[in-house]
Amino acid sequence: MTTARADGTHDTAPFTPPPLSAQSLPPEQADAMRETWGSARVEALADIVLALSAEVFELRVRISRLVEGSRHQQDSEQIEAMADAFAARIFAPLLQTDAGDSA
Amino acid sequence: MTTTADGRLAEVMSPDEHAHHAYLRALRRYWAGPLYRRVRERAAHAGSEDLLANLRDEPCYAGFAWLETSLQRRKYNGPRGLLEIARRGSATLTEALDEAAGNHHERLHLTDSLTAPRYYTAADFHGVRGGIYSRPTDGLVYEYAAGGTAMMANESREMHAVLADHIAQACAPCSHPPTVLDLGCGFGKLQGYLADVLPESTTLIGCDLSGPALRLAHLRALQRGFAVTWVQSACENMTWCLSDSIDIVCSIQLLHELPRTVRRGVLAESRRVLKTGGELIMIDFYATRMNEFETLLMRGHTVRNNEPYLHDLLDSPLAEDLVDAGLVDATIEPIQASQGADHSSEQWRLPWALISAHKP
Repeated sequence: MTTARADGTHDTAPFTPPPLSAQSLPPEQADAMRETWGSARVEALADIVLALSAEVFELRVRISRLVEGSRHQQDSEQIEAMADAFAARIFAPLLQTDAGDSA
Repeated sequence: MTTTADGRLAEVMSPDEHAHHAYLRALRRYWAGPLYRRVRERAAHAGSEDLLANLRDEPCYAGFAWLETSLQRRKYNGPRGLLEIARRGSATLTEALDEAAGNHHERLHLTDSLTAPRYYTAADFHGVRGGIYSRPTDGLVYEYAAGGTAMMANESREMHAVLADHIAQACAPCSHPPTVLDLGCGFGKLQGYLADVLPESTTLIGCDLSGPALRLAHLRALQRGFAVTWVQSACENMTWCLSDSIDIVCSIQLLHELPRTVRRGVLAESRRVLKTGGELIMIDFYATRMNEFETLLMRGHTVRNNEPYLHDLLDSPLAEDLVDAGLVDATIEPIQASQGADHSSEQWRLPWALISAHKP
């Protein structure tokens, strides 16, 4: 390991940063990828569901700690398993194609 | 090291924040598993003509795309986000980093005056506001985030371990202690695996643009008791490294973070520093062939996960770039998922590939 090049030369071509826009997907394609629910209102509702479900899960873990009398470090595998079950329950409707068609 | 704290983000998280991030990880598993499989099933029914248009009205696809962005956003931002947790715990967290920086300081080469290139600063990669180079605790945020909610979590085996094994094989015939240079080393995760599989006499060097990540890498190496020289530098311009001085140049998940001109510069610079017969070994996301569904999800991922150069890598002739850099014996091999034939356990995964070439 040295801190200076011994031969004093540089055989790599000089680098010029490219414009970022040249590296992006075509705008219409990128927009289509971003538009998920097709409506800002539905997207906002989905965000609310996510935020609320996260808070409910935190409460669940807190209650579980109190019930089990362990106020600090609950077994992390146990929390991950609880989280898996909770996430699957909350977002199960995404696996349906329409009402009543449960996957 | 006299600091009792381990210097990990988890140490300053409240129980509620632990629960919050456990929930995000669970959602991430749900997204990559059952939800992905449902989207794939619907795509198979949708027909191949304009797959995006056909899928856009499917709740599973809309949810898949929305969760991809939302989980990433929530992981980093907001009152429970990693950036806020790190900001709040900064005094405690930086104590261990500062102490480590004064220990074996000859191994940590930071350049405060370094101007990060525009391709690195112009985009918030992976949706992390301000990137992972601007705050003292950014390395810790990156380390925590890479633990369970990154694309790595979909793999049955840690890719850093896979790469370390390949490097160990390449070093085996060396008659002298090898020198291994890791480009874009981040917080030094690969070096942890290399230290396990390479002889102690190996010279390990890590290079990255992020000072905070390198400071964390230095701390972790000291904690584990192995020696690495860390250098803050752009990988396309390593003026600090002698020509013909390195046995193995490696990287993991670096190439897809670079625009092609820079990528080509990195390959040319790798050739320069490699010894004759030395090997370039990289793991990154590259596929010579993807079906329409895989392409749709990959292109969506580039947008939704803020990966400004990933699709550019996928579209570029990487094998030609290796040859143009003056390297020979170039191979690009897909790294298959090893989850067996049980389709119910299949997860969405990126097209991991092992890239290798030699300096003639």
